[in-house]
Amino acid sequence: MTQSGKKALMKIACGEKAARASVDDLQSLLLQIVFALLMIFIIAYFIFVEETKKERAEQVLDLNRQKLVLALEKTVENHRIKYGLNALMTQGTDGSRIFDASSHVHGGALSLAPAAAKAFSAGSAAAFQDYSDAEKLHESWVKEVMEAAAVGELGEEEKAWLNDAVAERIEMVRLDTRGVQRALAARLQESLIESSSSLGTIEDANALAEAIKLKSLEMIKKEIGAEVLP
Amino acid sequence: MIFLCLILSSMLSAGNAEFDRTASEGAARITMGRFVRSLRLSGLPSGVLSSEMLKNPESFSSRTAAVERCNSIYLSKTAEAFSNKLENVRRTLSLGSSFEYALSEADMKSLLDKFPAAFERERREAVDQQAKNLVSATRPTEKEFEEKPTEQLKREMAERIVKAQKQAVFEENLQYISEKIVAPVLRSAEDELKRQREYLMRARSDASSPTGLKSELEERLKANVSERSRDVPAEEAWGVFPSVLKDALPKAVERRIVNKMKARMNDVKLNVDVAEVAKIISGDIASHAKYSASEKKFAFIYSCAVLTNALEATLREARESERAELEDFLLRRMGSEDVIKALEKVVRREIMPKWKVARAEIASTAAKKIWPSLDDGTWYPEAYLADEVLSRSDYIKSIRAWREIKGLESLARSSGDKKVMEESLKFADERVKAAFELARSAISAQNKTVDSTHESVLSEVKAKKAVSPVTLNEVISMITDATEKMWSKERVAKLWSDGGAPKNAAEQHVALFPSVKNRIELLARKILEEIKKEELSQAKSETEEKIEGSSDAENETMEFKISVIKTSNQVEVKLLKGESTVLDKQVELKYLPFENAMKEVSRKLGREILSLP
Repeated sequence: MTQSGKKALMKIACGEKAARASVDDLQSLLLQIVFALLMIFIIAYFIFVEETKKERAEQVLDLNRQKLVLALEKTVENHRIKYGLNALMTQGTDGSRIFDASSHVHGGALSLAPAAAKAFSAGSAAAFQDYSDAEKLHESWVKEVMEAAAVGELGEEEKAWLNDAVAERIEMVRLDTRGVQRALAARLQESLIESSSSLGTIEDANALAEAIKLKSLEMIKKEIGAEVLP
Repeated sequence: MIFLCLILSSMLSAGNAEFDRTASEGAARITMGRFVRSLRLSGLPSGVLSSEMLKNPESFSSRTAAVERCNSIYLSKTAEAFSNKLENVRRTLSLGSSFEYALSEADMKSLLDKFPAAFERERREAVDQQAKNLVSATRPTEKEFEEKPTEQLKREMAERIVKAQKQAVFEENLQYISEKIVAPVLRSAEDELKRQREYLMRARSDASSPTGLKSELEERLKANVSERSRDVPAEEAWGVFPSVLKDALPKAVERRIVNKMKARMNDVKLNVDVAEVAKIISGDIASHAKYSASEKKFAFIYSCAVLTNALEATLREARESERAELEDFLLRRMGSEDVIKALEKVVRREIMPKWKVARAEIASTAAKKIWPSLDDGTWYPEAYLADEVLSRSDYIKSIRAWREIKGLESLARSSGDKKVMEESLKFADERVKAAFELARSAISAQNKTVDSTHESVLSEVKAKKAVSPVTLNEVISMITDATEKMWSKERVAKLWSDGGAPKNAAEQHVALFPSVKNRIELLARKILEEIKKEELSQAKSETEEKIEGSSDAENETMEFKISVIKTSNQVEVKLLKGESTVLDKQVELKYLPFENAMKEVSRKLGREILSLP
């Protein structure tokens, strides 16, 4: 702002000094103010427009994503069934499915119904095989999800999101499968702990814990006749 | 739905955490279980209690207090060890405070049961450790050692040692102090005291007088003690004890001087002259008749001689300047028990045996002079006397008192009124006894000879009786002749079989003893009886017919009485037929004579009844 403009503004602002401002100074100042306000509105308008465009794009994305999420959940469920997890679940009184490892272990051994035992055994073997080739597993999952979702070509961003989601779900199923196996193993550990002579004379507590874990997993493997997830 | 899937997933995957947690908790339980078991087996590690006791001995000096304190320490240490282990396990297995492990009552009880043994062990360790480090330079002075009673000294020394320590002493170590520290010091003092006393007795010294010897011994003792204190460890070095100078030194001086004189006594060689002894004895035979009285007198004479010689020898060895003092010292001690005993021993051992031999010789000579017939064996008792004495039941006693026997008065008075030595009298007693023994042997041998003639005389009498009647006297005469013949042949050989016949052997015990003659008479009667019996047995039936068809005169009753009247020293035995006396015997009031008399009465009675001659 020029010195004259400052002065004019001061006049307006300070009242008694306003009498000394010239008309040109005032007009120049007003013009500048209007121009600044106009700029603000223009910028706001363009931001609004941009946001609106994004929202529309996101709405489109959300729809695809919803389809993909549903497809993912379905795939997760399929794999749970494939890995025999559902065979070990029971129906709760409120209709929910619950997994109670204690009901499947008695007297230091697995006690599964024949069908459940068969499903769990085959499922454990399948899980071990699937998870031994992570890349292949990921690809099969993506394929299955895409087929189930029936969406068209995905954008790069959507692809990236899908890969992350699939990886996350694969890991979740792995943890579920592993969790079930280990929950059963945990019940078998109790019998080992009670008769600890079978564990030898390991002095170190950590080593002892590891031995308990290994032995219980060995017992599971022996019981189901298949490898367990590492 | 997604929400439900998430819940399900979280339920399924919870097994992963549960698996790890169960294994960790199980490992923790097992580890803790093993830890508790090891505690139950072996208790706390060694050194826990002993280190506490050694750190603060004041609080643990009394055993009772130590037990109490250690009990609570034991409990707290056990709890601490348990807690530390639990914490360690939690940390190692990342379990956090949610994992709990508690000791059961049985575990607690078992752990507490370990306390007494643990306490004993560690108390012993602490006590021993402290004992090793006990410092003691405490010793009593020589004066203290001698003046104070031992128990008091022990107590005071122990107290000093305890005070000298930098810390409190355990109760058990008080006894250790007393036994292992104080006692050896006192023993060392005792040994040194004894050594100093003994040293005074054996230290070399050229001084002879009491004064000189005393100062020399004192000087040597001090030098010896001083030298020794340089050579031995400090704890064995002592000064001169006061009692050694005060008591032991004077005694040592006395003993050494007296011992010197006693040694000179042993060196004295006195000769015992037989003539000299005989002269003394004959000069006062009344005092020397008894052996014991004579021995005493001569022992005194010889003791004086030995003592005089020993004193002179001792004084000769001393320096001129010391003799007067030494003589005075010794003379004052002549009558001491010690000197008297030594003197008696020397006289008894060396001189009296010689005197004994001399006296025996003198007595033997005297006896032979008084009783030459006893010496050469020519004396023997008369036959009647021998018979009379030997027939006594107490003949041994009678022979011992032979001087009172009637008929031996002259022999007994051979010595006249003079006193005779005991041994000489004994000589006479033994010879008289031997003579009577010889007579007894002669009687016995004669009796055997009489008995041996029985068969021959019996035959001879039978033969003679066939021709003509034989009287009793004839039979007696036959037996006597036969006996005398045999006796004269065998007498010397039987009485002196060893060949020691005296020069009058041809005269001794030639005639038959009266008792032998009696025996001959009895034998004669016996022989006649035997013959009569033979005859009677043939004429028995005639005699019986005679008795059956006998006249009134032969059927008359015969009454016999036997009377025995006993007086103070005699017995009268009578056989009475009606009013008349058939046999009357008076014998001594002794068994054998009485028995013989009664036999004779029986024989006579039998003859009277059977109307035998």
